[in-house]
Amino acid sequence: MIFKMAIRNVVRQKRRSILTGLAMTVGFVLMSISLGFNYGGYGRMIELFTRSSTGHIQIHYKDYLDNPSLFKTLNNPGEIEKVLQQTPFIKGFAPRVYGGALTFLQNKSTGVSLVGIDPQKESKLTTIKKRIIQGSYLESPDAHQVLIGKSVASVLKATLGDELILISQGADGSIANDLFKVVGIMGEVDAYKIFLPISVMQEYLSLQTKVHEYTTIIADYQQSTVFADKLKKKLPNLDIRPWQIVEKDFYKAMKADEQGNFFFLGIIMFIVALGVLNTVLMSVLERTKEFGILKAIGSRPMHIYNLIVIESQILAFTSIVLGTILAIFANWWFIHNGIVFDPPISYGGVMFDEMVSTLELKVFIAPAVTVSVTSLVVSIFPGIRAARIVPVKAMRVV
Amino acid sequence: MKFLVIFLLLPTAFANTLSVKEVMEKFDKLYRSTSSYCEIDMLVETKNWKRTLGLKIWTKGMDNTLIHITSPKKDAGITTLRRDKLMWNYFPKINKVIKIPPSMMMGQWMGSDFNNDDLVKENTFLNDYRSKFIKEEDKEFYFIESNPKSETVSLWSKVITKIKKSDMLPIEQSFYDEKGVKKRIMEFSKIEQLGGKLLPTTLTLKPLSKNKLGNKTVIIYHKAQFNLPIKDSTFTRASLQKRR
Repeated sequence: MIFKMAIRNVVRQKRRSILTGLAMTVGFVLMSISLGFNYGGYGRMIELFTRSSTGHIQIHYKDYLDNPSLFKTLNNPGEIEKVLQQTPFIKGFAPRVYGGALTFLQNKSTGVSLVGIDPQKESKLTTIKKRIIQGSYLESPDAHQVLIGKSVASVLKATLGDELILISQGADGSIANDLFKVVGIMGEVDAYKIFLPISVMQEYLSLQTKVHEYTTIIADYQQSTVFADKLKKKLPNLDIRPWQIVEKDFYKAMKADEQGNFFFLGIIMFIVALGVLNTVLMSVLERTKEFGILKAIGSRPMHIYNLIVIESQILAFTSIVLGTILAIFANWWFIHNGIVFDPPISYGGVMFDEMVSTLELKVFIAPAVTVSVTSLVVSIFPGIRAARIVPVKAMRVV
Repeated sequence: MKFLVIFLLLPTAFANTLSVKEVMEKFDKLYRSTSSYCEIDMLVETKNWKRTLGLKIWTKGMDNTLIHITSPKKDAGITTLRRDKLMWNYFPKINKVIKIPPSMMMGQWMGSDFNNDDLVKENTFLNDYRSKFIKEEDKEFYFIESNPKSETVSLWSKVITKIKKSDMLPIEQSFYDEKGVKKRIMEFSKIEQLGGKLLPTTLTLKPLSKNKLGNKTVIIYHKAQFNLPIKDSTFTRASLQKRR
């Protein structure tokens, strides 16, 4: 009976219900959109970041990451590749070799970091091809060709087709020296890097078939930590880390940023809560006389309390349903029409040109919980107030 | 490096009492004579890798040295020229001559335990060190302590050379840094007839510093000719880039 009364109360006072409901709906949609941008934005950021070079899970020799050295290599790449191929959650992997070198062109020279990549696998795994601003990608796995960073190119005054000299220390103590043809120039992110085919680099540094790193991509980056643990069981003697640990600084900065955003979400929530409190409280004050009469004809305080709580919950529920529909449209729209950054901003060495939303379930659940809980909480105080009403006094109120 | 590059063994008859000067001069010239041509293998061993270099070495006097790598294939053709106090490396693959700057003098030569300084400065004990006999009571060996003269730039504060009295051939040489800590040891072994004189044909250099413990560089002489005519033009930058 109380439920029926509550519905009638809500429907009868249309203007008040609409206003309260609207406050909740708007609050819900706002929260959902900002959450959408939060997760969507970071999701995209992570996707872009991990896809630029890090990947989702990396494999190294024991302490290579903390203390890299030419000699800390994975010596049995064949076995590792076999395991990776047989692991269903690994969607792709690519080997890499790292090193440093001095590079010369005519009378100019500079220090660079070398990255040996498998041209075919790397281009499937990362955005390396897209980062080329001039020229083309490495053509074959055994040509003496290099992609050079923007800064390397400008320091050496190198253009496409130039032959660079690279001098480094080989793994057998020899002085590695050879000529490499520039086929492409890379953008900002790879400013001081030189990419070359991995087999060429292994020969250049006398590394045979040894590699320094395997990076892998899995279906869902959010599962990186879980799958890294699973992979550890298959490759027990190696260092296997998800991107969150490999890119500690990026991850921490991102987390801090996210915390800041949640703070703003909290403020939005608070404003919504205030609005709801206001309307519920007003509706109780407005109906003091009504509650007085209810009491006079024998309602128990608990009934009146429940009535008010249920009323606000009905409103909250309606707002959530309505808000979800609106928020789906809003977020959907923002997925396809993200906020464009012009010029793009660089974050952790990756360029972000667009902020987009997402349609993940949690984008709707969190605001729904917030709205229903706040409406519940804010209705407690007016509910108690109404329940405690003294009929005689209340009925005198105009 | 002079140890490997030089040397001349004068007629083997010696008076019983030689001065320190005479002993050290013989040592200085043991592998060099007035000029020399040697073919050697250099085995370099560290905990991370191991390799063997085939080298051809020409020397003239105490100041001219040309070292040409013949194997492995990857490094073949790399040539080092040392003239007076200057040093260059030539890399045929990239057709580039690189001068070794003074700051790189302590760097390893081609990854061996010899540093560039060993090759270039190659101070002679006779001219750049003050030497004296120690442990004179020993009947079988000479022990000579050499300290660099004040104007000599050296990594070592003290070098002790152990030379057998009977054949005047070196047995062992120990190098001490300025703190008096023994930093490396060079052993001379396998005495054979080579290029007309008796020589220890195997030289083993072992660094003793903590991070290099276990490393070693072994030099084996296969062929040697001494006091042969070598043109001065051999030791020029033009010759450095010549195909051999």
